[in-house]
Amino acid sequence: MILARNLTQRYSRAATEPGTDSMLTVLDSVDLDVAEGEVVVILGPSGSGKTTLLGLLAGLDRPSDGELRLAGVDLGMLDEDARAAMRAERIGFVFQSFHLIPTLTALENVLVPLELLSSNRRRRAADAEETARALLDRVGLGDRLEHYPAQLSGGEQQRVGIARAFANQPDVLFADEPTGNLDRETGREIINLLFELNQQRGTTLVIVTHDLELSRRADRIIHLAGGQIERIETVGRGT
Amino acid sequence: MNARFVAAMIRRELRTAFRRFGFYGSCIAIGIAVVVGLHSLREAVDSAVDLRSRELLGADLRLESREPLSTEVKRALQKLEQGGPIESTELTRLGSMALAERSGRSRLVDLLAIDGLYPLYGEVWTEPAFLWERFGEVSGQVFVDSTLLIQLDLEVSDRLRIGGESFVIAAAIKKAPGSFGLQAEMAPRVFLSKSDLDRTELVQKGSLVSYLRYMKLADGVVDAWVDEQGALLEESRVRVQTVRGYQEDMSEAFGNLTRFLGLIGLAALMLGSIGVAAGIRVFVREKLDTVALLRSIGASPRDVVAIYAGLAVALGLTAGLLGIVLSLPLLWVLPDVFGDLLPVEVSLRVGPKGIATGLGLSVWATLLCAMGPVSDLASVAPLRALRRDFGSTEKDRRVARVGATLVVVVSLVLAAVWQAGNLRVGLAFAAGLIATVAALAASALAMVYVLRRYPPRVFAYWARQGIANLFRPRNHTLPTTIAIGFALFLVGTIHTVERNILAQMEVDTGSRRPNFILFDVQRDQLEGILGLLDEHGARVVDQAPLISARIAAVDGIDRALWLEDQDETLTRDFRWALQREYRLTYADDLRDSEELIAGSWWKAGELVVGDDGYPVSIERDLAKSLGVGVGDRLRWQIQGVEVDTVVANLRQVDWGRMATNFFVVFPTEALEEAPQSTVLLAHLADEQARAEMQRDLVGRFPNVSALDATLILRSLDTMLGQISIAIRLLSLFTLGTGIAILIAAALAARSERAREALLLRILGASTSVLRRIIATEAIALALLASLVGGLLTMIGSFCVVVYLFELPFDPPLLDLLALVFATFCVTALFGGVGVTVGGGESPEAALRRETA
Repeated sequence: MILARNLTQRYSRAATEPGTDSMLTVLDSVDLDVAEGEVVVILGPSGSGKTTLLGLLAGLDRPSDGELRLAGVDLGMLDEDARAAMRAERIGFVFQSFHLIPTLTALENVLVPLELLSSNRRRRAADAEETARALLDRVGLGDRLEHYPAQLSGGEQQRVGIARAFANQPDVLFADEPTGNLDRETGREIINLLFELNQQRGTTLVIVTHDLELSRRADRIIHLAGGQIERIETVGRGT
Repeated sequence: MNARFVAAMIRRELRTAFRRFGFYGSCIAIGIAVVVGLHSLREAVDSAVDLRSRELLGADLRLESREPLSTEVKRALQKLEQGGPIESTELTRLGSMALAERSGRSRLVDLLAIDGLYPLYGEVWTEPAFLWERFGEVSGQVFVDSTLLIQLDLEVSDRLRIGGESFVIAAAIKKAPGSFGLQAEMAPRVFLSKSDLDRTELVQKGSLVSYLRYMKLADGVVDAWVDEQGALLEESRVRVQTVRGYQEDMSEAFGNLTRFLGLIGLAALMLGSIGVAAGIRVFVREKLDTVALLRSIGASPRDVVAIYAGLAVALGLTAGLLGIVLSLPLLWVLPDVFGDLLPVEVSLRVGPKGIATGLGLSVWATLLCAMGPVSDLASVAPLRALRRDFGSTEKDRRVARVGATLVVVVSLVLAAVWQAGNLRVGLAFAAGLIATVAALAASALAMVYVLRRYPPRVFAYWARQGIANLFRPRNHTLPTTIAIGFALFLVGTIHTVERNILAQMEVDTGSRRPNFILFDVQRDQLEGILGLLDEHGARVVDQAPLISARIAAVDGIDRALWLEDQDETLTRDFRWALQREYRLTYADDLRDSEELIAGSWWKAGELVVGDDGYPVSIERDLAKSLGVGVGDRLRWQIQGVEVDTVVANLRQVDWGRMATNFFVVFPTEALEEAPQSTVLLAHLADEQARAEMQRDLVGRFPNVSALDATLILRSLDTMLGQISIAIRLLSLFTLGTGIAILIAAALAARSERAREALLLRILGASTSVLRRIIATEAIALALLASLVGGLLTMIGSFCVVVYLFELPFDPPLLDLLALVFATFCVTALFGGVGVTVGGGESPEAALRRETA
C-alpha cells in the first residue's frame, strides 16, 4: 500500500554562524513499506521526524529527495490538485487536536469528506447524510448530531474525528497522536474504537504516538530517531 | 472544483459569518445607499426629462438669433412643411428694467413678447387659474413669474412700468415651460404681447435682443432638417434647440451634478471597504486551521477560493440589499435637498438600474476587500494541519498581496471614472482619495510609532494599558483612524472651502467695491446717467464701452471655412471661440485686473497700424482656444464692417474681480466711433439708495438695465447653499461610515477584550480599573483619529483654496475646532461599545464559561 524509498526531507534555516549548514535535515534516507491492511506505529522522541514522516506518507508535503508510492501511485508525479483528490479518495486523518471545523455541527463535520469525493464515488445527499449519521451512531454520538465542537468534550470531539476519518472509506488512515490531548481512560476508549472500526473495514493504519500501550497493538513499530529509522520491531496485534 | 461541496460550505459558513459581519456590512451599505440614491435621482430626472422634454422646451424645434431670421433661413424653414403642417410662434426676448408703480421697487426682468400661440406644448399655470387662455386678448396686460411679485412687493392687478409704458399685472405664473427655480430668482419672466413690446420702444438699434421661433412639427423631420441646414444655420448665427438636444443638455447638466456628488458616495463606499477589509483579515486569520484541515482531507486550493470568495459575494449581496433599503429614506429627502436645482418634478423610486448598481458595487467592493485574504487562504499548506508553523512563504504572500493591491487601485480608478463620467475628474478623484488615505495612514502610523517609542511612563497603569492597546497585535487603530479621519477631513474641507468662496463673493460694504451695474447705456445717454448717479451719491468705479462683434477669419482663413471641417479636428474650445458673439471694448491702458504676459501694449496717440491692421489685446485663455499668439492675425465683423487686426499682446485677467473684464481689447482710435453701448460699475452706499436709483433710472432711461449686485450674490448664495447642503448631507454619510467601522471594530475586539478583562480580574484588577482601560483606549483612539483628520483638513483645504480656487486662505478656526471636538466626542463614545468587564460574575465562573 505504501512504498517509500530514500525519503529525505530538509528545511532551510537561517545560518547563524559561518560554516554552518543552512539546511536542516529532518528525515534522512528513510525506506519504508507498509502492506495493505497493516497497522504500523511510528515511535520516537520529540524532534525525531515522526510528524514529518507522517506528513510525507500522507501526501501533505513533498520530500526533498526520494520516492513515495501510495496505492501504487507515484505521489511525486501528482500536482497539488491531484494530491488533494488522492487524499479525498483514499486517505483518512485523525489529528491530535481533533481539528473539527468549529462552525460546523458534528454531522456536518463527518459529511465533509463525503462531499469531497469525486463525482463517480459521490453519493446522493440523502445517502451521504445517512452514512454520516450511521458513523456517528457507531462512535456513540447518535444523539449529538447537531452539536457544535465547542459543545462536545475532548473525547467526543475525537470520536467525531474518527467518524470523519472513516467516512470516505479510506484505503489508508493516518493518525497523529490521536490520544495526545486526552486523559488515559478516554484515550483508551478512543484507541479501542479506532481499532474496532479498522478491523471491520480492513484499512491500513499508520499511527504516530508516544503511547507504548497503543504501540503494542500494532503489527509493526517503526522506531525513529534523528530523522532515521533506528529499528523496525515486529509485534503482531495485541489485545 | 467540487461545486456541491463548495455550496454546502458557503451555506454553513454564512451562519456564523452574518453574525460576525453584520455590522461590517453596514459600513459598505451606507456608501451604497448614497450611490443608489443619487443614481435613482438621476434616472428619475432623465426619465422625467425624456417624458416631458417637449413640454419643458415648449416646442419640437426652437431657433434663436440676435437678429430677425434671414430670408435664407425662412426659405429653409419652408422645407419643413413638406413633412406636414407647422405651427409656429415668434418670441422677442430682452432684458429690461421693470418698475413696480405702487412699491417703487424695480429690478431686471426677462421680457418675452409673444406673437402667436404659446406654448405649443405644455401649459402655463397661472394664479388666478386658467387666465393664460386669455393672454393677448387685452392690450396693456402682462403675466409675470410669481417670484417677481414677491421681489417687488406686488399683487395681481398692480401696475408695472416697462420702458415708457405702464402695464397691469393680469396674473402670476406659477409654472411655465423652459424655466425653473433659480432662473426665476435671477431674472423673473414677464410675458406681454408683441404689440405691447413695440409700444415700449425698448427694441432699438444696438439693443441686446433675441428673436426666438418655436415650432410644432411632424415626428421625425426635425433632426434630419437640422443636419441638412447645419451650415446655413451656423453661418446665419442661429442657435438651434431640438427636443433631443434639450434632453441631452438637461440630463447632462443635472447628471454632472449627481455624478460628482456620487463621488462622495463612492468615497464612503471605499472607506467602508477599508473597515470590511480589516474585519475580513481577522476572519481569515481564524480560518487558517479550518482551511488547513479541509486541504488535508482533500479540498483543492480552487475549492478554498470558491468557498471564501462565494462567502464574500453573499456578504456583498446582503450589504447591497441593506444599502438599497437605506437609500429609501434618502430618496425621500433628496428632492427637498436639491430643491430648485432640479430641472423637473420627479417621483423617486429605486428602479432596476439602481438595484443592479447597488448590488454590483457592493459585491465588487466586498470581493476587493476579500481578494488578498482569500489568496492567503488559498496558499495555506495542508501540512499546516499537522504542523502549525508550516505555511506559505512571506515572499509568496507578498507577491499575492502586491497583485491584490494593484487590482484594488485599478478597480478604484475605474469605478471613479465610471461614477464621474469623465476621465480627468475620475482620475483626479481616485488619486486624491488614495493620497488622502495614504496620508491618513502615514500620519496614524507615525503617531503610533511615537507613542510606542516614547510611552507615557508617568501615567497610571490603566492609562498606559489603554494607550498600549492602540498598537497591540490585532488592533483596529489603522482602519478606524482612516475612516474617522477621512470623514472629518471631507466635512471639514468642504466647510472651509465653502466659507472661503462665500467670503470672497461677499460685497464689500466699503467704498471700493462696485455693487451696482448699469448696461445698455447708449452713447447719448451717458452724460445723463452719470449725472443721475451723481445725484444719488453714487461713485462710478469702472466703465467701459461695449461693441458687439464676431470673428470673421483666423490667420487669414474665413470662419465659414474653418467650420466646414468634416474630420472634426477642431477642438470644442476653438469652435466655441469661433462661433460666439464678442463684446469688444477699447482702451489705451491696462486695467487693474489685468496683467500683460506677452507682447507689448500700444501707446495712445502713437498707434501704428500696419498692413495687418490694428493691434489688439487677447486674453490668455481665449488665445489658447483660438490657437493664436503675438503676431497672428484676426479679422472681425463689427456691425457689418470687417476690421483686420494683429495680436499685439496677451493678457491675464483676474476674472474673479468685480470689474469690467474683456476677452478682446482694441485701441481707442480703432473703435471709438463704432456704434456702442456702455457698461458702468458704481457703488451706492446702501440698499435704499440702490432701490431709489433703480426707480429713477427706469423713469428717465427706461432702456438702461440696472443690476443690484447684492441680488446676484444672494441668488448665487442661495444656489451655492443648496449645493452645499446636498454635499454636506452626503458627506455626513462618510461620517456615518466611519462610526459604523468604529462600532464594528469595537464589537470584533469584544471577545478578546473580555478575555483580557477576565485575566486582569483574576490577577486582581478592579472593575473600575478595567473600565478606565477601555475608556482610555477609546479616548486615545478618538484623539488620534480627530487630530489626524483635523491636521489633514487644514492642509487639504489650504491646497484647494489657494491652488485650485486661487483665493486667500482664511480658515474658520472656531468651526473647525468645534468639528474636531464633535468628532472626538462621537468617536470616544462609540469606541467602547459592547465591551464588558464582567463585573457581575466571579472570575471562576467566567473562566468556566470561557473554557466550557
